[in-house]
Amino acid sequence: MTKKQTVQGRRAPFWGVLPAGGLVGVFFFLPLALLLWRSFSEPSLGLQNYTELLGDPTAKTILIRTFVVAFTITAATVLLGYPYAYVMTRVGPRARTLLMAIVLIAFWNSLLAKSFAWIIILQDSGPLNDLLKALGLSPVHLLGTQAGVTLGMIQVLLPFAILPLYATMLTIDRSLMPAAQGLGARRSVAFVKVYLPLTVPGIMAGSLLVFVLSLGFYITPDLLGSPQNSLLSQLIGVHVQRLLDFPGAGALGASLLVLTLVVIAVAARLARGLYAVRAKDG
Amino acid sequence: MMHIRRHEMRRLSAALAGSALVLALAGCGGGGDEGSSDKLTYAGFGGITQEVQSETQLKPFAKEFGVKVTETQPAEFAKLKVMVESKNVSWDVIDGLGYMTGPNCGTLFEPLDFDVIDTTNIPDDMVSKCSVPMYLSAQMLFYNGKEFKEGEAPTTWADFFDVEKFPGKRGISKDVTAGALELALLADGVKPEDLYPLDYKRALKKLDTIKDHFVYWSTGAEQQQQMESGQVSIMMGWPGRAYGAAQNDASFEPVWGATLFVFDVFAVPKGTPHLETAMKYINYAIGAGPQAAFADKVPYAAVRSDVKPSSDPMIAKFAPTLDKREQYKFVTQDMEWWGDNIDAMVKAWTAWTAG
Repeated sequence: MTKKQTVQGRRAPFWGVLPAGGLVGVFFFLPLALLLWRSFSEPSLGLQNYTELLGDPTAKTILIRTFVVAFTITAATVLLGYPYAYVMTRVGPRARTLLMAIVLIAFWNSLLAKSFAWIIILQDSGPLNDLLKALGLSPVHLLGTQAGVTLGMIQVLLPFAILPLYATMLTIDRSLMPAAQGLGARRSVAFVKVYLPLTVPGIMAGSLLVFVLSLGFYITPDLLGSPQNSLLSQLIGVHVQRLLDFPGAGALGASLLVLTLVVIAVAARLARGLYAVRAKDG
Repeated sequence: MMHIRRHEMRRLSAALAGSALVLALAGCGGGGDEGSSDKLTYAGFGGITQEVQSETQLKPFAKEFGVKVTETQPAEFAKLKVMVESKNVSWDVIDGLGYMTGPNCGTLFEPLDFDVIDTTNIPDDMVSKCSVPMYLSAQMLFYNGKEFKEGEAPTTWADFFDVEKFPGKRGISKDVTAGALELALLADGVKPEDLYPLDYKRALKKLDTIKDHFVYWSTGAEQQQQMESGQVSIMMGWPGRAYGAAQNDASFEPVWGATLFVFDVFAVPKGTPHLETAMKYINYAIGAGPQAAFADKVPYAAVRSDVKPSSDPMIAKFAPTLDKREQYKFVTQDMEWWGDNIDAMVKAWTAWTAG
């Protein structure tokens, strides 16, 4: 595709991207490049920071843990967000505004405030355990555990799943489901065969957002977790703050970046594959 | 209610340290002003400690010597390293710890001028080429007075590990330098005089025996919250935080027989444009008047033997004074050893906790 085609014959006002592009370029890509360079050039030119990383069992354990937590959170937020977004498209305007407000207020609230609130909720003498006790169940120890971190992160990241799901569902023609049922499909079959495939882009967008964000999450796991379940961002924190090992932190950051890009590529592939299958079916 | 935030900002400011790095690398760092010797920038760790320092030491110094004093925080070590490396030093005096100044004396820190700084009445073992003590602190055991009656309460390092006799969660710092390794070795029967070099493998093995009973804290606020909410029954922490919790109706009692003695230091970043003023300030702040005024208001103690303890009984109860150090034979943390071994210890600790 040539440049002309993309802008349909008129020259795009290129300068429009300069302010934002410059900002991102100077304050993100340049430092990123410098940090990457340091991970290869210090203490001497070579791959030593990366070979050290590969030989470090702690880094491996933490990397696997980080991906497990990110997968769990992604699955949970999509499962919880899907019906919520679906209901949002089905109710009247007033209820929809209310449901949207609930999501947005949770979204706009300070991350720090949310994380501190979870400390109160999760602690041994907190409201969650009071509730369990009131229900006659035995109290659980959550603060400082992986379960506690996961719970807190699911809440914090839920809006990132709901919003893309909702945006996608809004574009789906409401008459498709009745049409499928009119042609003899049971409601559940119509949903699985017609509605669900159309929401795949939303599921993909939401999952990717949540997954990538959880891979690099720092504040919530740091406040709700313990060193016994630290995630990759905390390990990077140890390298920067405690070891003053900027090259090592750069190597960890670069590995996370590469793995994230791999995940995005695989997900994009998967999404394309799903469309292709559907096109063949049709 | 009094909140003593000593190292509060240390962790949350990773982002700050990162952006300082970015600025320095991109060559866009805002420069400190050059030359003039009547200015001083002090970097501390905020909270009530710095507030009281400001009131009892920094402001009176500014007035008396006609110096324009600026305060900032947090005095992140990572940030300082970036400043010195990029030759863009905007801090003149900082709140530091011995493991920073020891191995980096002459490279990241200026040697102090002891013709200006008078260390009479300050214990020799706390003074080094690049640092003098700022105030006295401790990492020590506190037990919940509501759970353990006097006489049935923990009294030794070993009691910390006896989870049958003294049930409940144990609070410790996420930071290995805070003293968990020393705690474990002393509990395991190592004599204080044989403590260093630390046998960290033995220490981690000992800690491993009660790994499920630990609750970790990273900031003083978190530490205090864990005591106030009853999340822990025994805390290895700072006197200022047990004091803060006591003010909010928690009652964590100090175990002076299990005290690891630590102290913050004054240090001067290498390449500061206000070297002379920095030396003058340090000499002023460790003087008898400013030290007494500080120690009267917070439960951290004066560094001089000629300063009397606070007149406030609550502060006096928690302050780790030089007299108590003598009386209870505090074990002093060997910051020189820590300075040489910190990287190895951080790695071993991270592997043990997270692995």
